[in-house]
Amino acid sequence: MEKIELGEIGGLSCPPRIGVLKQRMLDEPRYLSIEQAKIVTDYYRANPGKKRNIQRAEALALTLRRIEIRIDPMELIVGNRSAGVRAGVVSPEAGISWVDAEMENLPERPQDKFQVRAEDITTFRNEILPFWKGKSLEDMVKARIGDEIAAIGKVAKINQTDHSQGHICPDTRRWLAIGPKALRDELTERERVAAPGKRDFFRGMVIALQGAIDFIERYAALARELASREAETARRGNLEEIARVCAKIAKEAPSTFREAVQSMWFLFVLLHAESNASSFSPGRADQYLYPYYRLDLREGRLDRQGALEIAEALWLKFNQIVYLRNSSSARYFAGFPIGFNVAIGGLGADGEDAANELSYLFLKAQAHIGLPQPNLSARLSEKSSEDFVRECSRVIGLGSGMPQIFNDEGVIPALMARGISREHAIDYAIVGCVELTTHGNALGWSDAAMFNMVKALELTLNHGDCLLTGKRIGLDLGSLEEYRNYEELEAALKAQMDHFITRMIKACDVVDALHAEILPSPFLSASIDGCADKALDVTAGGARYNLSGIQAIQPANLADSLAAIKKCIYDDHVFSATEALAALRKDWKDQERLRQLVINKVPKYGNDVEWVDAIAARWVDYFAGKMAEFTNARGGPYHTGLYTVSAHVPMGQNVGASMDGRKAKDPLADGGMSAMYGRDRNGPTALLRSVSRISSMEGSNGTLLNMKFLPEFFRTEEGVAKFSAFLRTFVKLRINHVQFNVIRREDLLAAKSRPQEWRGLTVRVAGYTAYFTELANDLQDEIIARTSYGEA
Amino acid sequence: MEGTIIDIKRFTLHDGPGIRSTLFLKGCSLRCAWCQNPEGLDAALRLWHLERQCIKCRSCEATCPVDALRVGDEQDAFVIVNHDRCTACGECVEACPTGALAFDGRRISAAEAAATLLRDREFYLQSGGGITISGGDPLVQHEFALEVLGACRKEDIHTAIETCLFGDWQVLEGFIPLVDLFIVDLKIADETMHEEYTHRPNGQIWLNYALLADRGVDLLTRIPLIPGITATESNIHALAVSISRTRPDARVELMNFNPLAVHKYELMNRSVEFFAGMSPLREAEVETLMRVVEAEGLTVVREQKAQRRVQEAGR
Ligand code: SF4
Ligand code: SF4
Repeated sequence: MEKIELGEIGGLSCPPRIGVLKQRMLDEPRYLSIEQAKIVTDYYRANPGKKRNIQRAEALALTLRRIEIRIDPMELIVGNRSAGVRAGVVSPEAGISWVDAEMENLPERPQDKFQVRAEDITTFRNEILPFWKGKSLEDMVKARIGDEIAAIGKVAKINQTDHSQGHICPDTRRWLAIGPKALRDELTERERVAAPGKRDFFRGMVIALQGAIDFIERYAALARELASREAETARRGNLEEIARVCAKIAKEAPSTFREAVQSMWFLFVLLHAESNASSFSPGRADQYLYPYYRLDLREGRLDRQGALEIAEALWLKFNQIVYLRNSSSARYFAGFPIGFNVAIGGLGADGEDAANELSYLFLKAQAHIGLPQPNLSARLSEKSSEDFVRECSRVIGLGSGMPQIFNDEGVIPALMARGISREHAIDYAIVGCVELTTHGNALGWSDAAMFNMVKALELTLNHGDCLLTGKRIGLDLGSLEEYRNYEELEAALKAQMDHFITRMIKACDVVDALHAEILPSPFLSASIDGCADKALDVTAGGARYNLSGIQAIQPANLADSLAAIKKCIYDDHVFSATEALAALRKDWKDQERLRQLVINKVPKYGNDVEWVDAIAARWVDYFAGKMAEFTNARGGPYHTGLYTVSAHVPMGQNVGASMDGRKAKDPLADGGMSAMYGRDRNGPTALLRSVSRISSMEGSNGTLLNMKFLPEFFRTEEGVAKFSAFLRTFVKLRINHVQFNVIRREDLLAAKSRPQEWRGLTVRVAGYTAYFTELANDLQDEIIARTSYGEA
Repeated sequence: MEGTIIDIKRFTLHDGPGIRSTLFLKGCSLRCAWCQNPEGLDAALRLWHLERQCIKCRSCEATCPVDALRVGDEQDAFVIVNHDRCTACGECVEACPTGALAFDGRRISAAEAAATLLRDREFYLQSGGGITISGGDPLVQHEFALEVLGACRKEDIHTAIETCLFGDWQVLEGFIPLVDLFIVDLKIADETMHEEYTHRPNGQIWLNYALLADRGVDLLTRIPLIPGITATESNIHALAVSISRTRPDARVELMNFNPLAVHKYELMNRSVEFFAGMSPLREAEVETLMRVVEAEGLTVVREQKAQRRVQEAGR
């Protein structure tokens, strides 16, 4: 591989154009958009009785020919699925009943607001909504299995019930390598030779691809038109270049870096236009864009500054598509995570470090842009260069929370344990937030459901009755008072979990099969390796790999609760089971002494205490073992994820008081692998050691560990070096993922006003360490003042 | 053997190279007026009552065998400890659910201390870090300290101690084979003033410094900057002259005053009068003093501000 010009990349600046475009984008209000919904609905009304995949393909192609498009004359990379940026696109085939219920509320809801035009409400209610009653995925799911989903909802939350499946890393390599026209022609040929029953499958893909070609050509035409009216020379030149690039890549394979980036971006716009789903991931863009970049540099067509500008233009584009969720989902996944996940670095096919100059260029773009998208992930391995680890550390220190770090040493074996070949496992990418996937050949269905183990324990302790409502929602296997020893309690918990796991899997299978029935995705199927060979839609199992991921939530609270029960009730007899159960039922009311005992006198997960960590590890193993018993509707395995994103808050609201001292409805531990907030008090090294005891092999669907560091840490080269060493140890410990919040002044202020949540925050003075929240107010102020001073 | 420690802190970053763990021992021979670690002065355990954590549950009431606790009948604190009576038996600490009653340290065996220190060995290996014994002063419980150091050395871990150098040379000499880096604190050049502010003369300290330097050990010399006391140009100059005479290639780190220990004084019912009106030196003042040191041909190590205060925010 060519030498990496670190010095030159370090000196690159953020082009002024990017700053202007960024500001313009952020200033533009977000609107609900029903334009596509209207086109699609009109299409379906006029075309009943056709095969579903043909309907989907034709509706998509029609949309691509009709939907309003826009070009900003300053843009380098163009294309969006709506005229406005960051629009909340309504997708009727997947589900709109909730849109109807929440429409008026969208501008005011607490999380992820959208403006709504009055005339759109009328059109939506009169023309769109009535047509889809009973026909959308959402309504079909409700009709077929809605009651069961509600019945198990507090323990097992079933997802993907009202939107298309996303969390997919398409085969961008192939799209770039052959271009849309060759892809269309290949599928046309397959249609010709296919068995009669399979021809429609290929027909759908051809229709969708033709729509895609037309869509990109519309951009070429619009750019040409705008150029003809543009007086200013630089802008005219740019528009003419846009026209040239779009006209070429509408059919051909790209040959320059700019063409490749533009072509790749259209692929993602098209995928979102078809599916309106959460997360299509570019994956290893530093790998597949590198040849174009290198060639441009060699031929002198482009310099590094120019390449950075293109990368940053793409970075802005990633922020222009957001995802409209219902308000409950917006709480689980707050802040529009759309999951344009770019994975840089990591091992190449030859098993050697594959980080290249583009990996660094993307880090630079991240440092300049600092917006929520892309979700930039860095893959580290034992072979990562010190330069790369340091550069990642520096960008982390800037505080955008990115790049998040993935560990090849843990992830690759974990994926192989799920039956994935070494070749594909080594080429893994990330979808959504932290979910693992292979590149371009998988439907990972990574958010099939979230399983609340803490709730399962609650029901096990209390005759299957919910502590919040008193209703019996689980199996009555006895109660804490009746289990004679810890082993009996654990056996009961297993039975309770088994019960809900079985019901959960059945529900997931029904939802999965309904997607195949209602939402076949011809364009996506043309972008995933395996579908054409199997002649099967991706929703029906066409991909080479078909997994389903269930999140086990939350090992920290489960382990802490079980540890408290084991130690205080069964081992040391500090208090009785009767006292404990009464305290839980009363949400610790008048039982502060007991609550403090379990908080302070029982060791907690996250502190490098083997026996407590072992409880967490054992239950994750148990859960993962159960998953291995099931096969999903597409014939692939179920597996386990250990992450919640922001779901620890709403999931906590479903759980009554727990034996770890948590009060009813309080959030659960965040992340997935994290300790309960404020309960890890031995510092970051102890936390990593604890986390490493949960087998990385089991979290093959993705794991999440959050850590917070102070910005000062990164201010000196020595600090950056220590942080890099910390990351390298993380790699050695085979933890699959970690991300860092570099804590700021606001956080310290929060720590001051809500000390109970920030107890682990330590401040170190020469020679002594203190917990921030235990310091007197004026001293806290002193530290706050100094921190902000230091940040200036 | 057993020792009495304040605590073991993991992920310490300023007590030597790399990522480290630091064992803080109790007991110190000096009595610096500005001590930042007052719980390290006395080798004996002392009971603290942290009013902010007390939930007034009275679980500690009637636990004390020697009647050293008064619970709930005073205005200013819910629990009052009679330190003259308290034998540090731990009964009340055991009973207290919140940790509001706690000792300022604990007894621990050298083997257990070493095992805890060695837990993060992976981090040390990756970062070129290791373990540090600080205090208090490691020379006070030297046998314990040596046993811990020996155990860590056996595992090939980089070791450091931080000491004020007050003690018999024979004791200090015993550390040389087991310690990779000596971090030594020098305070005041003038003998009378040294005695006034630390309650000890500095002759033995300089002698030890010279003997240690003579043995060619890796040495980092630290000077705490206490406004108006150690942080005067004349004192820094005098220290620098003596240092360079002893060890012309010495590395010197100036540690700015940090008022954060004051609240510990309050907890320990110690007077905080000394600190009245005292604030850290301004950057320019520190730099002036740094130049004074450099003028004597010494290398000044910039104090890692980041690493002085904290580092990790756990959460
Ligand atoms: S430590 Fe023992 S002697 Fe001291 S106050 Fe507590 S119970 Fe009494
Ligand atoms: S036992 Fe602890 S929390 Fe309760 S009153 Fe005594 S000191 Fe306060």
